[in-house]
Amino acid sequence: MPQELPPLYPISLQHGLLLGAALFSIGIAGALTRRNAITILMSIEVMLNGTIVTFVTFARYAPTADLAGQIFSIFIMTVAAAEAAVGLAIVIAVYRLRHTVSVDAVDTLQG
Amino acid sequence: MNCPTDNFICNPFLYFHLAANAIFRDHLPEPLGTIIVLALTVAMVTTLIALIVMSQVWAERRIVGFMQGRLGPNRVGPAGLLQSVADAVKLLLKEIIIPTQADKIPFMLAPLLVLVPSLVVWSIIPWGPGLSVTDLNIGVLFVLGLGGIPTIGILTAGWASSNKYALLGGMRAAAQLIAYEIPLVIVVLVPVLLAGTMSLGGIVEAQSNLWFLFFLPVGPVAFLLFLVAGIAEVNRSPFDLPEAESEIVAGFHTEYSGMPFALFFLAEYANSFAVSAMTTTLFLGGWGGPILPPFIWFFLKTYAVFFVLVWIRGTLPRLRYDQLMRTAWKVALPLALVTLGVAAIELSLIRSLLG
Amino acid sequence: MIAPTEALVAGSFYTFAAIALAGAIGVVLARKVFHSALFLVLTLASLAATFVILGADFLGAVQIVIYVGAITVLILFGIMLTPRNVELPESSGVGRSTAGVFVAAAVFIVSTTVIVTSQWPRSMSTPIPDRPTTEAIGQGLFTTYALPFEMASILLLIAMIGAIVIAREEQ
Repeated sequence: MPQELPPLYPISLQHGLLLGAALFSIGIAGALTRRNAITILMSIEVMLNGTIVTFVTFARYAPTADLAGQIFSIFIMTVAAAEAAVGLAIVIAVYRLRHTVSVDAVDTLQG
Repeated sequence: MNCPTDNFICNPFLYFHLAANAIFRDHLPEPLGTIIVLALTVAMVTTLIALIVMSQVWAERRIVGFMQGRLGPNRVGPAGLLQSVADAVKLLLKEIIIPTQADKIPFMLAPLLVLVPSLVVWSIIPWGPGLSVTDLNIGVLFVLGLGGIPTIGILTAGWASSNKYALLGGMRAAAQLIAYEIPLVIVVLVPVLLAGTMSLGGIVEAQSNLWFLFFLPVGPVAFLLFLVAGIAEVNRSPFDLPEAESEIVAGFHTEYSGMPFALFFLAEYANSFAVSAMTTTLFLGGWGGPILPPFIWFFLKTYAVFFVLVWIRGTLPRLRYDQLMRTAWKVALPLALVTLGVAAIELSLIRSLLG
Repeated sequence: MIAPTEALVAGSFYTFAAIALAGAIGVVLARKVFHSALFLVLTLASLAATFVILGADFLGAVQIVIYVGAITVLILFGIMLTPRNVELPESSGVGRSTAGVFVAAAVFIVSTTVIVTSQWPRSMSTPIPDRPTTEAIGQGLFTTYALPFEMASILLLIAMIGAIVIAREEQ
C-alpha cells in the first residue's frame, strides 16, 4: 500500500531522506564520469555527505536513546578525512611519476 | 557591576531592540517582522564593526608611530582620527582592477570568504550578560569552525590571481593557518574544560570568581598559547609571512585593488579584534568587573589585548618560514597537549578533593 | 532572543537543501577542478546549515570544522600541488559517461521509490523535540561507542602515517 508523500511543510523524514538520496546519486554520477582523480575524490565526499544527511534525518525522526545517527555521522566524517588524506597522497605520488592526475593514465596493472 | 539586561545603562542596545520590536514585530505579519528585525540587527552589528575597525586602524598607526619615534597620521581631523575614514573613501573610489588572466568569479569571491566569517563571529561574542545576538550552546566550536573558512578564501585569492607571488602567499597562509589551528583548537578546550560548557556566555559566567588566566599552573600557559596561535591565525606580525612584502610582494592580495582590497583590509582588522574579544571572553573574564557597566569592561579588556597585539607588532621582527613551522609543530602543539592534560588532571583532583 | 517561526525553519531548510544540491551538481559539472572544489565548499557549508535545522547543532559545527576547515583545504592543496591538471580535457568517452549517468539515475530512482512508497512507522512522522546534543554525543562516544571511537583514532593515525609515506619525495 503506497503512501502519499507528506506535504512540504513542515519538514518530514522523507524530505531529508530525498535530499540524502539526491546527493548520493549526484556523487555517483561524478565519481563514474569524471577522469580527474581529485574530482573523483570530491564526488566521493559528496556521496559520503549524502549518507550523513540520511543518518542525521533518521536521528531526528527515529526515536533512539543515544543519538546513534549523529554519532555515526561523526565516524563517517573521520573516515572521510582519512580517505581524503590518503587519496590525495596517492594522487600526488602518481602526479610525480606520470605528470598527470587522470585516472586513465594509471592502468599499468590492466592486463 | 550587577547588571540586568533591561537596564538602559547596562544594555545600550535596549533602545534599538525596543524600537525595532515596536515598529516591525507588532505591526507586520510573522515571519516578515522577525526577518526585518534580524536584518536590522545584522546591519547594526556590521556598522559597529566597521566603526571599531576604523578606531583600531587609527590606534594601531598612532601607537606604532610613537613606538618607532614618529608621529603617525595626524592631519585629517583631530589627532588624525578621521584618517581611516579618508582611507576608506579613497579605497572605495579607486578603480577595481581584475587581471586579465584571473579567474574572475573566484577572484571577487575570495575577499568575501575571508571577511564574512570574521563578521559572523560577532553574532555570538557576549558583550554583557545576555548581551549578544545569540548565545549558542556550541559557541566555542562555532568560532573554531568560522576560523577555518578564511583559509579557503586566502587559497582562492592566491589561486585566482594567477600570479606566482599571490600563489606562494596563499600556500604559505594556508600552511600557517592549518599549523596554528591545531594548537589553537586544543588550547581552547582548556577554558571549555574548566567552565564545563561551550557556550561563550557560560564560560564568562564561570570566571566570575577567578579568571581562567589565573588558574595556575595551566591558565597563563594556555593564555599565551592562545594569543600566539591567534596572532598566527590572523596573519599579524610577527607571523605575517603570507604577506611579507620584502619576500613575496604582498602575498595573496598582490593583485587586489580598490574595494576588494578594502575588504581584505577590513577582514584583517575584524579578525584581530575578534581574536582580542575571544581572548577576553575565554581567559580574562569577559564582561565581568566591578563598578563599571559590563559592556564597558568588555571593550576595555578587548582594547587592552589589542594594544598587546600592536605592541608585539611594533617590537618583534618577522619569523623565518622554518622557524614558524618549527614553533607550531615542535613547540606549540606538544605544549598545548600537555596543558590540556594537566588541566584535566588538576580539575579532577580538585573535584575529588572538594567531593 | 527572537523565536524563529516554523515556516521560517522549513523555508530555510529547503533553501539550504537547494543550495547544497546545486553545489553538488557544480562539483560534478565544473570544467576546472578548482571550481569543483569551491562548489564542494558551498555544498558542505549549506549541509551544515541543514544539519542545524534538523536538530544536530553540534554536528553542523563539526561539519564546518572538519569538512570545510580541513578536508577542503587538503583538496585545495592537492589541486595546487598538481598544477597541470587544470587544463585536463574532461571527455571521458561517451560510453562511460552514459553508463555513469545511467547508474546514478538508477540509484536515484530506486532510492526515491523506496523512500516515497515505504510504510514508515507512525512514530517517525513527527520530529524528536530539540535537545542539547553535545552532552549526549559525548556520553555516547565514551560509553556505548568507545571501541569504534578508538578504532577511528587508530584509523586516522594510520592514514596520517600512510599519507606522509606515500606523498614523501624519495631522497
